[in-house]
Amino acid sequence: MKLSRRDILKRAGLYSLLWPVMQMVDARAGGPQSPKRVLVLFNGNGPISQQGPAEGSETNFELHDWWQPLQRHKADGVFFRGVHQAGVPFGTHNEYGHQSAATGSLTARTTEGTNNATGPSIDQFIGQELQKSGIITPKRSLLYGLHDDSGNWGPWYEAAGEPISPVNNPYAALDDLSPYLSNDGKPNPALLRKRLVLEQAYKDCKSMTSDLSAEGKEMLDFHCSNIESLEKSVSSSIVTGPQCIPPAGPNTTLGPDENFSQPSTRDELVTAFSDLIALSFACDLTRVAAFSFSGPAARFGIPESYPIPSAPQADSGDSGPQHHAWTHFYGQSDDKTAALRAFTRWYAQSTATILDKLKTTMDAFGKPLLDSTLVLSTCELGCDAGSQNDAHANSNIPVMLFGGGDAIKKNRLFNGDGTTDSALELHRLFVSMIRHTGLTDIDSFGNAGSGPLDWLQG
Amino acid sequence: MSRLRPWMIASLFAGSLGCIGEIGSPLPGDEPEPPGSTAGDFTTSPGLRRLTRVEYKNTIKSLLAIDVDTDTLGKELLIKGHSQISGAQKTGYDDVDRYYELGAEIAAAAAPAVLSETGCSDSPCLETFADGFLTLAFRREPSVSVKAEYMALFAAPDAGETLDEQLETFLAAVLSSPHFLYRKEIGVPIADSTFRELDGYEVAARMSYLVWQTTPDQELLAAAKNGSLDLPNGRAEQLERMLESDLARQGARAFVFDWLGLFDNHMQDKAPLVLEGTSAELPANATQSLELTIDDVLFGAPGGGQLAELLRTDGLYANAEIADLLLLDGAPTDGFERLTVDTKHRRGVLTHPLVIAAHSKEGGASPFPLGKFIYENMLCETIPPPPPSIPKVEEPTEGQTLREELEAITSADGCSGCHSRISPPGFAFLPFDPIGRYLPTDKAGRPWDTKGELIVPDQAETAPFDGVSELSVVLADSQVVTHCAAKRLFRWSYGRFEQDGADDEAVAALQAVADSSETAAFELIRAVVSDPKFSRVLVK
Repeated sequence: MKLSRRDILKRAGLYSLLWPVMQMVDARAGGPQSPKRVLVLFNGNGPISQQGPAEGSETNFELHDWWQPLQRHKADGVFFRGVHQAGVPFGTHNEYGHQSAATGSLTARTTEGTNNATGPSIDQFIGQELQKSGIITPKRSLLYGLHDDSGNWGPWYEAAGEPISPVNNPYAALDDLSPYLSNDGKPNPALLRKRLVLEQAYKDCKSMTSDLSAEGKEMLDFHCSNIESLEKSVSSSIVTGPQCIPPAGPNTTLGPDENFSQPSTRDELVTAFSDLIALSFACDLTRVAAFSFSGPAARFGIPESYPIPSAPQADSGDSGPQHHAWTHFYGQSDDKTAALRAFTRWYAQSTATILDKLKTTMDAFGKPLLDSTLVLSTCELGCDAGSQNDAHANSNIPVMLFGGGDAIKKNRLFNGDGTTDSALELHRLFVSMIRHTGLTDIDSFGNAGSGPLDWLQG
Repeated sequence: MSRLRPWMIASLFAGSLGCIGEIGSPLPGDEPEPPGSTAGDFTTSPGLRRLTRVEYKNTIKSLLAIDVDTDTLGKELLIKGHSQISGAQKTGYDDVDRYYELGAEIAAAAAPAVLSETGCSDSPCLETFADGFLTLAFRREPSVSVKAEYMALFAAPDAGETLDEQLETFLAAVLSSPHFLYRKEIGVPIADSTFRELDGYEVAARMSYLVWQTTPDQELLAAAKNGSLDLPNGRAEQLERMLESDLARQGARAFVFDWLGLFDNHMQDKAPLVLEGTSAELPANATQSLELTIDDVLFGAPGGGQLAELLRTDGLYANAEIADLLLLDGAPTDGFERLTVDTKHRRGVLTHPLVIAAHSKEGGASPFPLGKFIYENMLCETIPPPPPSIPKVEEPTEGQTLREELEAITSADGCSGCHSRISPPGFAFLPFDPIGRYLPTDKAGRPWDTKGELIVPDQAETAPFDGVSELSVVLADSQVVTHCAAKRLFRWSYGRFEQDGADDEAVAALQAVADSSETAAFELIRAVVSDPKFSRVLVK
């Protein structure tokens, strides 16, 4: 087997240390190369409708009215109808509902009928795999969102049975990034200290394992290996030398003590977090980010500029102008249509805001971030073909991909049949995202493995 | 640094309605079980007990007199409604980062005060402080090599240029160390036994976190060092001292909060309409109200009060905002006072706003999560996950009350098994909104139907009640509830579930103590600590 220069360095353990240098060498060899990045966008519930996101043929299509705010990014995107969520075993009706949907949406694996994902969500998986492959960034991945779930289940999982919650406070998010940002050319003293502290923690950790039972050893070994990984990540960013100036504060008029769960804050938070994601990508603080427009079931309202009719009390006990209540209103009504349209348009508008930022922010190679970032937008629930009553289904999920550079042939519509075995399975798009980051030897994600979707390349 | 308040240096349906598909919102009780390969019965100890967020917070206050907000730390993984199951708490990559970041923040707040208190201007001068701090933080005297490693941090090139920075580095290192983050319960082997014998320091930490929910003080560590804690009398002597300390209230509050499923404050995770008219201080006010109520019941009378009395009490502590929520007159203009509630509608801690909020969704009624909570936390029953095939929801019939609608939905086969148990106690809470306000009628002006019968496990007869006030009395009078509380205390004390055979005697002894109608909560603690197995750990 012939080993590439990268393979040799990787085996020698030098690859992560020399990563920035290698990037430059690669750039000289084949022109400037931006790191490949991914961004996952998720919203609870969904449009609960067969409509959208677009209608027409592969190359001659129009965005549906509900998704019109994304019209300006039509040429940057690939739109999918009829996507099916494999690994989310909740049948064709609302048998298991949100618990399976939310935990399975981004993990493609969940225990039937429970709220227990049996593996990491796609964002965490890619971050972990990049790290294993030697691509170490100060932050393995970022997870931001507008609704910090109070419970222990949702779409985001670090590992099987280990749910994680998005950060919903932009001040806390910026505080978390600031230590890695410095433009005076010297190693950041805070990073030097962090490395020193983690080295000591690792020593302590290893010294404690000797008298433990096998169960205790396994538990502590997991902790020790995570200390080691973080220490390597910190070391890597010291070698790199951050070149970015930290902003004075997040881009928002909201104060640090604001109640970030209020609908009135949502537009500003989308803007603030868009900036932080762009900053992190541009400074190579991470290659993986995720943004949750809402948690599972999305029991909240959106800004007043998107008026929502009030739902009558549903079988879920919910009512009022919030998304979840309308998903439990079975049947047709003008108010239901108006509500679902408004929610979908707001999610589309917010997605467009994030894409705007990625398109106008340049990375260290002078290229728009959107060129190197593959953005996936998906949601929790689909719907059954021909029915508006069976609202909680894993078929007909509206999905969109944006960016990703020339490897993705854009401005196209994929017309799938979301209800049959031959439908496009969402996890294949996850594999395409994995491949986009350079992890080319991974063929599967979640409960099934049929490789990436080659159709994306045109 | 807004999360920190430096003082002077001193020392987580069936509740998912299960049966009707989805109704579950992310409620604290909806925790996932550990998956396949890592799932276990958690009846043994890994020998390590990671500090919970509450324990971390209290420990920092004991060590550095700093109030710290631990919300940034990862939540405990709840196993069957317990936050203290040590084998389930794994420390991931992000957890490591969070521990570092919070530790560094605490270190930055503490270092100037330490320098001021000690008057030190060079690192050798700080050696005495460092020695004492390591002992308190690691809950045992550090070995010579560990001490040397930590003292060397002061001189490390990356530790900083000033003494203040070097001290920050030292403190951050201590607070990031697994020696600090875990209570070790490793012990030494006992011949022909599956148990291991803990050393004095390990016993000290177990006692301290049980009774005080914080790290051992110097006197307890001294007792560990001189061997006193190896003997029952020595442990009893220290226990009496500890029960007399105000810190015992902190320990009791923590256990009761765990019993009531209060792992996070959910007072403000509610719909805007529900929160209308409330202040930003509502979560803190509600917490203080419940804490003072617990103190009043358990510590108000000489000799201490009973856990069951918490369910029965007609007195809740309130300030103006909480009194307003409870519809009570006579609120103090400043601070909290004990006010008597109208026991027709409200009684005991189960009707406290903080408890109702913890088990309610953002808006609307939450009878099933509340019923599930009663069954699991009060009766120690496990409500199974929803069946694989859930009957389709029928269209509600116009004119039905919410209860009638929900009863119709859950009457089908495959639903009624669980719902015959969790629905009646859940319906008792129908008159309360998600933050515990009493609403005399439903939106259509109809009176609530809160009648029900509690199916008590292992008992032939059901217990009738009308409303949550009567339900609370039924529960307070039930031996099943006191036995359940005793079982929870066992799990709380040992960080694991009871193992058939190995723990039967200890659990039965604890339940026997709980059976006495005169038994104060203190006696349960005495029973735990005086058990010969208290100084032992059961490993796999």
